[in-house]
Amino acid sequence: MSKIPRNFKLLEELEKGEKGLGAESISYGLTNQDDITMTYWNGTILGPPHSTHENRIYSLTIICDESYPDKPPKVKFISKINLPCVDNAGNVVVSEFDTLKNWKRNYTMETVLLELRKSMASPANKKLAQPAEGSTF
Amino acid sequence: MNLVVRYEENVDGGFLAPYGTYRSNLDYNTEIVRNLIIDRRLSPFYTPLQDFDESWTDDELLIILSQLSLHSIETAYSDAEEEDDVDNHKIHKSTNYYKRQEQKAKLQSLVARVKDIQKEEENRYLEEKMRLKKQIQIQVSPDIPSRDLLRKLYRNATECPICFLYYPKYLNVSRCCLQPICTECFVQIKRLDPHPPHDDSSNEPGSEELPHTLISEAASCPYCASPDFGVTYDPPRLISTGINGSIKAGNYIEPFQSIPEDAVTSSPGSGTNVQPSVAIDEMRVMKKGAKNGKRRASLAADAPGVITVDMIRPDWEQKLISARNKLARKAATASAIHASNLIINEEEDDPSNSPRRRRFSAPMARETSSNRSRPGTNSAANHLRTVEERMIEEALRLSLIDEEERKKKVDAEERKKNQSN
Amino acid sequence: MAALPKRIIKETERLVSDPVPGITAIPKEDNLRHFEVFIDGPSSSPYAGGHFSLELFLPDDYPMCAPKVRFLTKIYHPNIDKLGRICLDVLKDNWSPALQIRTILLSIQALLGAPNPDDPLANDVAEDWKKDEKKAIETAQSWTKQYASAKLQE
Repeated sequence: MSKIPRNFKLLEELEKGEKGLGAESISYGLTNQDDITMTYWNGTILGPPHSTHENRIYSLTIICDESYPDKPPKVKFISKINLPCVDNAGNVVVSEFDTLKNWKRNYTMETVLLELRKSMASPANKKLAQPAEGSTF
Repeated sequence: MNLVVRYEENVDGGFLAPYGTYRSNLDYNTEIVRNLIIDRRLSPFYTPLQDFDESWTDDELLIILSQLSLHSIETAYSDAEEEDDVDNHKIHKSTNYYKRQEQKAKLQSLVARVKDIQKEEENRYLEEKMRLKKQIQIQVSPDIPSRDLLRKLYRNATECPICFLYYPKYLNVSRCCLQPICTECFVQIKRLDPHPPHDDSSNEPGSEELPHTLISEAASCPYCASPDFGVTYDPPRLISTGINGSIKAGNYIEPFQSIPEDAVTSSPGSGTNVQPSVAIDEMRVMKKGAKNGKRRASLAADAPGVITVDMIRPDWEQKLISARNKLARKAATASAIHASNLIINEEEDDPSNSPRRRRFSAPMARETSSNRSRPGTNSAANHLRTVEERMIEEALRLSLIDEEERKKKVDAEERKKNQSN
Repeated sequence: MAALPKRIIKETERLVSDPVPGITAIPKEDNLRHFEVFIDGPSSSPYAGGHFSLELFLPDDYPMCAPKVRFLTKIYHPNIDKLGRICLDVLKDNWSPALQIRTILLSIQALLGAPNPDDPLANDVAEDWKKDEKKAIETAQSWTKQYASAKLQE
């Protein structure tokens, strides 16, 4: 079993994101097109239907440092959101979010965004009152 | 049909199933390949030597050979770093997801069983070798190759230019540029997955691929890039053992005063086919070309005796058709969804829906409908993967059937023996 | 971790024992399929004098599929993009299992000597190249001096 190195894994993720091969409800890409270290990323999540997030678009930043993907990325909401796993500065708290807490090497940024979306749609969270649309942390 | 190496199933000192150098993505038609080997039209799957040194004595060589296993289970069935199934993280898993999970589980249990059978075969082989070693009086076990046979085969081992492993010099040679290739590497070579033609400007994102334009091209020669890769095989005339051979592998005795080694060591640099546009380096590959002294000319892909990549993977056409259908379905689904979105939007047309909010209802409706009810919205690549998995599964399944039949036969023979005693 | 295939071991040994002039490739200690690569710019090209750093990875299916390679040093070239990704046929559909790490690296070195703006990966660079080749070559030279000077890396 060979481990794919960080940079080549990120290149694969980038390609998937660029070509739009992944899920339609989320998107992600490099913050700067010429960031040769591929550290800083932007993500968006389309609020799931039948929830207080319906029709909203959430922006996030994702930081994949040198330890990625052995360690999870750092994820932060830019758009204001009321979700148990997000602290009052917008950071996704590792200990509160299972995907980051029990991180696996074959997870991707897409995994993180989809799981966040799933958490927004969970019965416990889908009715949570949300801050005004368009506000930011 | 078989992916299990059995020592009784030998042809000219090689076997009918691969040693396991490559991870077991064996989607070639195993039935066809087995028959080609038995018919001496393709080199058998010889057990490779990891290293070879001409200075080894016969005894050293034979000791190394006697320690080799039939199959390399560790490499053949090692797990790759598995890609995470994105569907697992979606709110609504597609029906395909469950199908894929089911398939995966089935494949895993099949692999586990094939591994067990291979281990049993390995033990039987070891036991037979031990019996042969201990029963000093009985020097021969019909299916354990004689020392003479092993020496004859491996004394002048050659390196396959693709896997860099050492084999008896009786390898397949490319039809076009006469370069050697072992059967294990040959069965790995296949067409690329169906893809849109190259030179159209499909670089722009979002440009719809037209289903009927998908193409599939025959694999090219790895050495000289000639299209329609194929190989020929010259069976060794002086070694004809095992299945359909003149004697059993254990009975082979090298003819006394062995015939002088025919001019196998050809002049270096006799091959001059260099892959265009690529700087092929020194390539020991190029040295070997002539075989048994005489050098045949290039052969056409349809010449008799030539085995092409498509011959051992006759399903390529079906794969192309299914990829095209897949794409066509995807396009149809997309337009159907588009149409249904218009309807949904009209239905949802209540006054509280501000125009700005409504903008996003289209992609969402698309998402939910595709996840819930559409079994076929995953990409064509995904589909191809399942086709491939199904092929492997089929090969494994047939191996198991074959194994059961073999066992039944053995049992029947045992019973017969017992009765006649 | 499964044992490294013989082919990769032998290729690595030969890269060390019989190196190609102007090219080095050394496997990383923590992952023997991951190589640290340096390629010198060909002397007759705008990249002359440059000492370019790259990384190379041999996926599980190697040699049945191509190695993955990218530049780590910034380079101004129509077939290499801002992230160092390389547009080269032998890294994609024209890969052949008879090719090797060393042949691929030689092909990349050759690509430095023969930029092809008609099959671009970096569209803006290719545009510049086609519009004013002389100026593009000057830019390539100055980038080489700025980012790929051997002294910088010592």
